[in-house]
Amino acid sequence: MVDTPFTRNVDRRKFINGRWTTANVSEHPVEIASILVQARPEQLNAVARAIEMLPGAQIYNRDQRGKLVVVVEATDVGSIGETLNAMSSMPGVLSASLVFQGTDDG
Amino acid sequence: MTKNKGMDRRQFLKLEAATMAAAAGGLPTPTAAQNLITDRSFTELKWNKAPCRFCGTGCGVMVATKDGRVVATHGDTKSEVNRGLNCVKGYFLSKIMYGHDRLTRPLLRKKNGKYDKNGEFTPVSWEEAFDVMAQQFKSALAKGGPSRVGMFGSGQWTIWEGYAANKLFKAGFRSNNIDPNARHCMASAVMGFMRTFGMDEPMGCYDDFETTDAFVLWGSNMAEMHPILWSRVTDRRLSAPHVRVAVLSTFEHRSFDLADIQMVFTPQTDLAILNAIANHIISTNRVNKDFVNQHTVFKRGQADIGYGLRPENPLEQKATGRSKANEATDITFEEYAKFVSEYTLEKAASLSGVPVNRIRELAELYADPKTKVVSLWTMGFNQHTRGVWCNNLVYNIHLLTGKIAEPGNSPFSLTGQPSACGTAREVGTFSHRLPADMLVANKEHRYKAEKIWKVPEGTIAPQPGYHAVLQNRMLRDGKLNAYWVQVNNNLQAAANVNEEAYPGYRNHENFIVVSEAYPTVTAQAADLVLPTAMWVEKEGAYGNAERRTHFWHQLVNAPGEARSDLWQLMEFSKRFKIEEVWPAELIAKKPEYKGKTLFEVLFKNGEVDKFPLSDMAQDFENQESKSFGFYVQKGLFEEYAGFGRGHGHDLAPFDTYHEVRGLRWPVVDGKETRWRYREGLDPYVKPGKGVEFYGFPDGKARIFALPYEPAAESPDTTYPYWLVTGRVLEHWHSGSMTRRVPELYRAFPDAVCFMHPDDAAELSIRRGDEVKVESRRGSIRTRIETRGRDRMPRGVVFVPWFDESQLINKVTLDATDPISLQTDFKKCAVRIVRV
Repeated sequence: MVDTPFTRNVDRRKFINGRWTTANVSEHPVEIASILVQARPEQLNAVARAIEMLPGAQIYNRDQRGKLVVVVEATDVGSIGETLNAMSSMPGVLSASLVFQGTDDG
Repeated sequence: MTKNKGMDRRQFLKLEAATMAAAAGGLPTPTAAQNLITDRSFTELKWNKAPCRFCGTGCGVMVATKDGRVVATHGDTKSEVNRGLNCVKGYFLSKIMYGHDRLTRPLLRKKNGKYDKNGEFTPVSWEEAFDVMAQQFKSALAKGGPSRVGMFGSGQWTIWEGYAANKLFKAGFRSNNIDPNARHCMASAVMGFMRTFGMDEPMGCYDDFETTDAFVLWGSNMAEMHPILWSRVTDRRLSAPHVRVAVLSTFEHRSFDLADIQMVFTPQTDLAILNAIANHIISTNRVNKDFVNQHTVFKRGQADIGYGLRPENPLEQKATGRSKANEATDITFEEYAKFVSEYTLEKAASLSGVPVNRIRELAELYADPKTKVVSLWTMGFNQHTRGVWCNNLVYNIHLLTGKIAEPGNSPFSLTGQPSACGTAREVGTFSHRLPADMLVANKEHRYKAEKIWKVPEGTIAPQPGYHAVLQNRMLRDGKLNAYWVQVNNNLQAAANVNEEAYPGYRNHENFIVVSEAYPTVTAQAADLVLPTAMWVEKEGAYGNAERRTHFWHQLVNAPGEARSDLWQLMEFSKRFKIEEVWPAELIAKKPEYKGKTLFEVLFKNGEVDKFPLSDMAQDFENQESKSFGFYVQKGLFEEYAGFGRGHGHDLAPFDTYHEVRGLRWPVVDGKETRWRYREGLDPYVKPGKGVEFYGFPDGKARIFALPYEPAAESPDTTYPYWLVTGRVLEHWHSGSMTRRVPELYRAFPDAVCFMHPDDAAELSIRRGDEVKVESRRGSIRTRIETRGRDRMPRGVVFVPWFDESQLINKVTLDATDPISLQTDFKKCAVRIVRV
């Protein structure tokens, strides 16, 4: 019988620490996300400028009543979430909602 | 594919992303994307609809699969709920099933090849798992009858999972010890509805947001917890400048950013503020007299009802109203007016710490007849030792002014879990309930259920079973011995872990089974862990906060030997002969059941097995149905729907839901109901009535006189801070899914203790220092945060509960609302000690 984590007894310590099997992630994934941002109209331009400073973020569309369409591209699995959170906590941003998420395996 | 092709594909993916977002926001499509629709095949993905796995908002998502895996999601533009938007958790749905420590085989604690509670987790077959589990359940039943077995289920169960579990326990084992984790979140809302209206769930819907003049958030942080609904609130506020937003909480959080009226109040004093608003309406002559006279009656609710603690607790011993907590007497409007007259704006200000003018400004939103108001609340009201009262009191101010059951005027109880409504509440998976708002204590209701279930009269026990908090106490006391936990992480979620929950699970008299997808703390404390399918790995249905029932197909297979909760429940029922669970006198009433298994009696009863496999949509997998040989989801749903059709809980035919993006019940003649109780909008309101609260025979809602009463445990000299627990945007509940998504983990990796900087300075603590947060019951180690999204007032600290390495529920108190039996997670007393 092949010795895998599913056939031998599970070590309790490893089980508790979530380390009894190995991760299975792709080699060069590219994450792409689009985000709809709501901001107060009087702060929209400032918010847009700040967003464009974030790595991988591009503004694709803008509505002066208080909305922005942002597309974020990242090579690193952690970056999208960090970028989204950075946007959510920017002064003037009332909400940042994800619309699309996809993984391009490259 | 050449390198060039790869770049083109990425460009298309980005343009597709931008187009979706533009459509969702009502902006024109980016010009580069105009031709996109014809090049869709580039992305090689197959898309299907599903509700989001997370909160009670119930957003629709489109899910893409490739090679048997979910690889992408986007907000469903055709969903009326979110219109293409998703929050950060919904965004990462494609990753929640693929954490590297996903459970794929049953695990039983063994020593020397046999089950041993102190043994190591050992992979076993399903056969062996159910052998041991059945044996344990049978010996528990033999030991002391049905009260010895129990189940803790979930508002994240699909509708048919909850229904199958309810049947298995209440009709099969004849035990009412089945309760959902929705007891921790929505029980107070449910009792609030039942006491005021005689029927559960909101009368309005999300459509109220787009037509209202004022939003009032009572202890609800929608910006983080219902972000998509918050974006609709924001849209309304920004597009109609007269609209006002009021946000009330015990500390400042992200929702305050949109607020015109901001109120931070001392914990528990929401009761006083609510009464003060009622008093303001009456004393300034803005009562809608016609509405009140025609559609309401007045009641004085029982006071001094205790705190749901163990009976020997001194607080319980001196609670004079404890044994009649849910009772009320009839009073007149004049008596009610006199009752609330002591709650002047000044008194509310003095109790709550909120300036008088601000309370008056809030009161005016309700009192002004021309201002339409939507009130919104979740855990601030519900997880409260007087949570039912809060719910009744907010309905009072909508009823006094007639601002109810019409577009834009809506007291709206927000739901936390994706199917606390659709499953736990509507199916009745509570220890005191049956489907369609029926009660086990009511003889007629039991009889009706027994008839639909084709079980003999007298099968269902009349006494309510153990509710959530009591289940932990009974486990600890060794009175509940065989226990099954599905779709929750109660060892992390329940209050007072050290004194009750943990000793209960590890009590050597008890056998604990946990169905889980990941090794959570609850799974680790179990004796048997069953690997469970998640979300689109099974065909499912949820019901969201606005009464919308929505379905999804199985889109991918569960990994390894993982099986759905539904399959587990039904397969387990095969292990019991009716003679092992019913007494001879009961079987004698239905002798054709002799020798049959519970599976045959409950699930092969001519109803649940009525629909053949050929009824299934052929391009989708359906593991459970193929395993049992009939379309189980359809059979269970249609049998369940029989409870509510014709009684105001009407559900559409099963097949309809797979075609549409959900429908709001009651669905009558194919038409959903957006507003209940209003003539013309609700088919159940009799012509000429205008408004009819048909949950009660007299058609009238109840306005309750209820006082301010203090919390169970307030700060004192030894434990000088209020502890509030709650959530953050990035993590769902106990983090078992979201902390396994790298992006979400990194966004908020560990819990912290939010504290006012001056409080920290007084204790010589700096931001980031490690501290102990300690109560009379236990402590955790964490780090202090004096900045960031939650700005605390002096004397109050906040710790989110998503972090299994900081079990804040070791610190909390298991005091409950005595009527709803829901735990108050927002108030206990702690001290902060430097480490």
